Amino acid sequence: MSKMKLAEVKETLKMLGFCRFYISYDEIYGRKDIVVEEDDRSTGAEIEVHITGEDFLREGATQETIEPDSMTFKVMLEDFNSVSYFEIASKKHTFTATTTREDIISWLEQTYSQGEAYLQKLQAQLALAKMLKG
Amino acid sequence: MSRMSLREVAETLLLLGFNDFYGNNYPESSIADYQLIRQLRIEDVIVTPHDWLHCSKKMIAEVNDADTGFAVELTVKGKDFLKIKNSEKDGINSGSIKPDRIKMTIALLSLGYSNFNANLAEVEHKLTATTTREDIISWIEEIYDKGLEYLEKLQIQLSLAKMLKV
Repeated sequence: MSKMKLAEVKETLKMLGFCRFYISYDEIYGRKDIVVEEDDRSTGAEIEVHITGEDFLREGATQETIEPDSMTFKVMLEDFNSVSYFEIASKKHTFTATTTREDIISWLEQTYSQGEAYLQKLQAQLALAKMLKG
Repeated sequence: MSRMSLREVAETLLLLGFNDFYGNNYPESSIADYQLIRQLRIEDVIVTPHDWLHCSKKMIAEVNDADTGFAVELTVKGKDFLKIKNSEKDGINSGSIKPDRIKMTIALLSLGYSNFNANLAEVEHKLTATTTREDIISWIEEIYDKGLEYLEKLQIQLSLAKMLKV
């Protein structure tokens, strides 16, 4: 059994509503990343998905032949002033021969849950800071 | 009844645990002044040299709480800060300066970063002739509440985003 192809991964992400794909090239590591970014203005949450694969650089490689190595999901939220975003969750997942579309969907869900847990932690910390100071 | 003096404001902040006072916008050439001012603390000097951009002087009281991951920054401003000689200990009298505003900000330590780079709340209050120490204490409480409110809002937004996506 071979790993999922890039085209299949992108289709899964499109199904989940991610529609802005662009490629970033890392000159230092000589690596090409496909960055999938989704800005959700109505919810204020931004999800970034980075897909990496060594054969992205191979001559003649196509979406149908490339097998991505890993995927990193990040959740970013807008700060109070709408000046910058801050990261509340980030996790890298490795593709294996048994990785399925359902795995990708569950990775996304896991990232949201990680973000929710981090926000809860921040709330507890801020409440504690208030208690200590006030 | 006159406005609170800078010394009084600083003493109130000190009482609340804000003990890292420093000035903002120091010219690079006056590192020694900067260090001197930090050492002198509020009894002597807490006023910054000239802010060339905004023609104002500020006092910043900051507390970085590494345990809780939050930074609370209080910026005290006043027009008469300009009457003071630049960064010289002599001639600066924090008892005679009367700040007119105090800005409070709560910043958050973002995941994976070592600096405070996201603001959760920001409020500016005017210091009037009737402002008391109790008012400043209540403002501090208010800014923490605003930060908590914003985090709650983010939590709802994130849950909604998750619901819509998966």
